[in-house]
Amino acid sequence: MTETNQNKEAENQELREIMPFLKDWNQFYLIVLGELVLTIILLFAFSRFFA
Amino acid sequence: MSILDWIVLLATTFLIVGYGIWKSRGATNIRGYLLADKEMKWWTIGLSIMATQASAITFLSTPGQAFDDGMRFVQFYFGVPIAMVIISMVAIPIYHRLNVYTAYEYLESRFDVKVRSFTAFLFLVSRGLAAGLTIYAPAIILSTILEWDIGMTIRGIGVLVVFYTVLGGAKAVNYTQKQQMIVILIGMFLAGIWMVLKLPEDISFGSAVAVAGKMGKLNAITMGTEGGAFDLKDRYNLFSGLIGGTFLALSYFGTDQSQVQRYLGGKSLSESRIGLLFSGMIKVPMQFLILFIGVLMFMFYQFEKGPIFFNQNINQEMRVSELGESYTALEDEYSQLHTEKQETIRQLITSMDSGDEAQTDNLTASLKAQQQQERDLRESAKSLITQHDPDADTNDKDKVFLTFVVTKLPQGLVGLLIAVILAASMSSTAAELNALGTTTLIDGYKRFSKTEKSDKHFLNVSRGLTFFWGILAILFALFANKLGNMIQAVNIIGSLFYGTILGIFVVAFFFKQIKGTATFLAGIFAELCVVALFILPQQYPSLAWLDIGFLWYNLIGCAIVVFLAFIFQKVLPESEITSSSV
Repeated sequence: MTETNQNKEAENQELREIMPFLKDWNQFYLIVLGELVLTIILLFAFSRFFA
Repeated sequence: MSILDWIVLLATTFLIVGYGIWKSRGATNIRGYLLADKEMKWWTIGLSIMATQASAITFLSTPGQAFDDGMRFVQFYFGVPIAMVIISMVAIPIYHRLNVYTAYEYLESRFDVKVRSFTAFLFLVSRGLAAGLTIYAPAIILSTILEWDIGMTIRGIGVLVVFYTVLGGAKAVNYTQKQQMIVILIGMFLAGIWMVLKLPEDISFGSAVAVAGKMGKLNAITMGTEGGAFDLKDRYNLFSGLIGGTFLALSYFGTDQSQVQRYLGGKSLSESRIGLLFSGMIKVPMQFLILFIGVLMFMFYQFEKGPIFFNQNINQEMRVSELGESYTALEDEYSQLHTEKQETIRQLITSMDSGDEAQTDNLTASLKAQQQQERDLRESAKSLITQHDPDADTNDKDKVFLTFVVTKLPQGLVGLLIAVILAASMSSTAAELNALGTTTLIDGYKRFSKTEKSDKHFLNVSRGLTFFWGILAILFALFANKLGNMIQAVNIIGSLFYGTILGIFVVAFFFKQIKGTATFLAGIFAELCVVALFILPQQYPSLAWLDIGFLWYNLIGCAIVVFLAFIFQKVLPESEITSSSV
């Protein structure tokens, strides 16, 4: 395992200690961006529904 | 304000400040004073980041923005979650690894001292101006609506915030911000509930929202193509929010010390990252709710007659002025129109309930025509006000929410909402003063200090510098001239500098082959270009085509830095290129 990979794994481990339901940082980033996409879709539907 | 309101206001404000001072007591070194001993948990960091960004202007202007222009302002925040992810992936690990006090410290290890000093200077100029504005903006509105003395209001807010920021440093800022954010959220939530409860008995919440939609107030997503082709001058649309907003947020959260300092105080890399991402996840829904409160307020005023102009002092002055007769006639016409509009709204609700689409379309068209008439009457009133006093501030968007708070909310809740506005003002100002003091110390005084000095010495200098910036902010606020819509003024000041600062950091993070001198020169050229782009269209009508929405300045400034840095790196002689890098 390279030093970069070891660092990444240590960072993921640190995340899991605080938030055990998350696998790694990439999953967290996907959740944040996924929430944004979902919000935009919902807001779009909201705008059109009430227009 | 009643005695109960004063009790709620003073108790809330002083309890929060007292708690912050108590929790931050005993700072004996600059690490404790500037980085809160690096012991902050993610929820404190997250709330602190939100409280730093959400100034009083946010809570005063945003509902007024929705009242006037609908909900499309929410798109301005679409870039925030994207920026938070990028910053978490790229910037935070570097800041933590280098154990820096300021973001600009990193630039010296990556480039050289001149890039660090130039960037820190840009930050000090932009944030120094904004710090005065974050005190002035709420003070002018509070003093207008509550008839408080403007000078006393500025001094009151300023002295209190300077006191606890100088005394407790970053820790006091973070702990007070957490409490302030909680009070802000509770206050805004209660105001929203009250608006719903105060709708007429025969108007349900659902009907009110449906009518707001028909009146164009729920336009949360717009494409910027409403006038045909894509309009670069259109400030808030999906694309300016996603692209321009991302660049602004990257710059603000990734390179502005008032934000960077919040997450540098994290106990670990993970605590900092989670705090930042958490605030990114909350931001858009929170702004949506604040704007929705503005829409509810708009609906409330469809059934309860509001003033033609949201500044009762000016209304009273106008009635007895030489233009009093014309002004009163406008007010009467406005009142008559309001009654007619109420009738149309009720008919529209009945029509929507019965599913009669043709009738609904007709009534919607009538309602929109009445809305336009109402807008025209308000514009006529503003013209008369300007005619009477050419220096009068005719922008009442910022005063709509506070007028509602003072005239329509029950005792106790008024005090809480004023406390919300003061808390928001103090939380942003405190973070700004804390960051200004830190940057001046770390990137100025300490960096260029020729002799070895003790930690205690730097702690005292740091307190002195924070105090200096605090006094400067209060003086700026006391002498600030009239401004347009205030939330935009703050953002415009930021956008003039943020693009260049971001460009320098983008080069630092992603283009390892580009060195200090090339980046420094590119930064100077980019800043001159952005300032020229802002000033020239205002000075020369023939260059009006250069006038674009301010959010684009972030993208343009950043792109110019990156592009020119590449060119300079290629053309500069080897001897001119510094070779330091991380």
